[in-house]
Amino acid sequence: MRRAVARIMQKDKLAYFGLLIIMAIGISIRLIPVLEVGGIWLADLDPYRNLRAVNKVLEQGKMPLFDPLSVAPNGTSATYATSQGYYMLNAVLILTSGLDSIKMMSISPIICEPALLLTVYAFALALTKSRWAGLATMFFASLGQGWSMIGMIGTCPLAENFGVVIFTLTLLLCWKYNEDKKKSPLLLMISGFLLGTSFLIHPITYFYLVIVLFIYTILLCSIRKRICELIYFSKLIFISSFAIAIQWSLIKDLKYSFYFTHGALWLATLQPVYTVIDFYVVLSEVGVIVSFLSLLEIALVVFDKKWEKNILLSWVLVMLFIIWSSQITSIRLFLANLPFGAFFILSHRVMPYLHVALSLLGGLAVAEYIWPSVKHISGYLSFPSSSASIKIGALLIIVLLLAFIPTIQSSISYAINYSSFAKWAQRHSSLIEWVKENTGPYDVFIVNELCLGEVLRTLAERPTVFTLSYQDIATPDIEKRMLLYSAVYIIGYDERVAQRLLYDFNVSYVIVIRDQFVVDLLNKRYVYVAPEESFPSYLKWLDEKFYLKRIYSDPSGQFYVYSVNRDVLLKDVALPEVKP
Amino acid sequence: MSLKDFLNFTLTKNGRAFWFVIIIIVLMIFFVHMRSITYLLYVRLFLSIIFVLYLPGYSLVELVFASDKDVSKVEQIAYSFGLSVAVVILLCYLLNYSTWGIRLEPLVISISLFSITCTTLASIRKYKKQKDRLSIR
Repeated sequence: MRRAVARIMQKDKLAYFGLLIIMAIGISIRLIPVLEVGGIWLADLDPYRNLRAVNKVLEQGKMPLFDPLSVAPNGTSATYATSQGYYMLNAVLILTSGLDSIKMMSISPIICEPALLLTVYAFALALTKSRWAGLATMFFASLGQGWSMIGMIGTCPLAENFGVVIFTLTLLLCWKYNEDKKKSPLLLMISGFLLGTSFLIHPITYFYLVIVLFIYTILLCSIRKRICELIYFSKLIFISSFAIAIQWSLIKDLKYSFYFTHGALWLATLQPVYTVIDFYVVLSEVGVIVSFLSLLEIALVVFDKKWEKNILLSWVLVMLFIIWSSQITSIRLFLANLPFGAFFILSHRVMPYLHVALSLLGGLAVAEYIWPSVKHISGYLSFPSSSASIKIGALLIIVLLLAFIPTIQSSISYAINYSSFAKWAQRHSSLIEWVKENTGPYDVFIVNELCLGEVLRTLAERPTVFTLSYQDIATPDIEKRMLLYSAVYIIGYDERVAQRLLYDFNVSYVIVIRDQFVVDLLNKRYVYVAPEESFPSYLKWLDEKFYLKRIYSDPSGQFYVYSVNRDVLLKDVALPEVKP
Repeated sequence: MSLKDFLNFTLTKNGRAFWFVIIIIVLMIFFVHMRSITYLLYVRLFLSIIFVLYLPGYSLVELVFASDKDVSKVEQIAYSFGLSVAVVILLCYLLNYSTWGIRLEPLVISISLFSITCTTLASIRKYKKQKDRLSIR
């Protein structure tokens, strides 16, 4: 008896040791961008909006409701209408830690990483009672690249960082509740509580969770041939409605969800489509081995009728269906008429969740298929002693690690390359400084680098007309705003339209960044406004516009600032009609 | 239930969660009060992560799953994180509507009060259970 207990304790210690090593791998990879840029810059577009929201909470001591810097010159309440829980949570971390808001935000995804890895370990352990499955799942989840990594990489504070952890935990609790013979009401309460919290963190997390849970419930009902699971599902949704009530009391408006869907359709229409992913992207981001193992596990679940694992099946099926539906134009048009259709159209958002699901399935396949097969082979090769079995186990680990060397390498190089996103904003620090020092707080800007518009709002605190950020996409006049950028920056557009739109949006400054893409609205594509060799003639074309005056040229030639002479602008010009 | 017996119980393996929560809260209050200690910034960062993203959930898990043998240690840690996120967000909403607002002192006080209440209730529950078990024997 004592020996058995000692052996279990030893196995536990080994498992915890493995757990710590995998966590260290995951954290180290995700820490690379923070170390590269010193934690003083953030990557990408949405993180800067999140930083602005958190700074506002810190400044006012309350959740802000109106954002005067977005959707200039009107401002919008869409910016702070969602993810309020996420903003407030980050504000709490900044206040208690005493760190700079930007530093804390840039390391916040790394704080979530161990929580996610522990959650997937616990999930795999609960499903299989195998530490092997837990460790393999953790290992698979700690690697990745592209959209699947974005949810958890340093310098990229997104609501999905916390969202993925809450998503996985809620599914674990719901699964436990459905498998629990006593049907503990406490488990139901906590599941509902976490489901509601996911809504306060990010509506997309809640939306995906509800769909996955619904499909899981339907599968359970059909397998168990009873409908009481549907009643549990309804109770769960009812408990989670506290969060919807809280958010509703602050925003009282759902029209943004319709407009957001319309804007999402616009983004998906533009060529080349970069926001919509396909199955090839999934394969390359998750890796061939994990994809193969997860397919193997799906086959095992279906053919061996291991229905207790159908939660993973529902999870993967829903995520893959979302990706598939976003591929087909006719379905996309149909989705554009639904209030939350944007969550389908912008299908790249499923990647952080899908990666976890595939990692879980892959981990389960290792424990239930690969490991028993190796054991079987060791028996067949007449290695009866336990030491031989240990050696074969160690050999399996080494083989797995060797097989994953390319995946580890690509994860590391992705993290290193990702630093360039953070350095992207740093490269424009002199522009931000110039804007802060030489312009007024109510001067409206347009920038041909759409993402930089969000940085200007956050770091220079100046209003800009349009970016690819959520709150700008959720405006009813998105076409007009995009047309402004096309008309001002692209050669060949009607000059009079540019003048009228500059007047309508009260634009004071036009910023030109070298080597940038702009939305060509009439042709529905992103275009290079001026290739490097023709940039001087492009500048000359801008200089010749009588209503623009060049007031600043960056010494390194990276950016140019033009002021708009509003007195000479044409006001009554008909605008072309465009549809996505 | 005498206070002395209860305090003695909190020093045993079963009841030490109570002191863990108290020590973290005391340390957090110390660091918040001594804002000028810049060289211990990373200690404060680590402590604040525990204080915000672990402690409230941990004390709630202690209260809710105290007698649940099916919940593994790793699972408990994961639940603690998730529930901490949920509890802190709700506390923030409460403060958002109050006159205090989302500021450092009200936050530290509310998270501390929540954690102490839950962990005290959990310890009392465990203590009573242990006492009942002993009396049956």
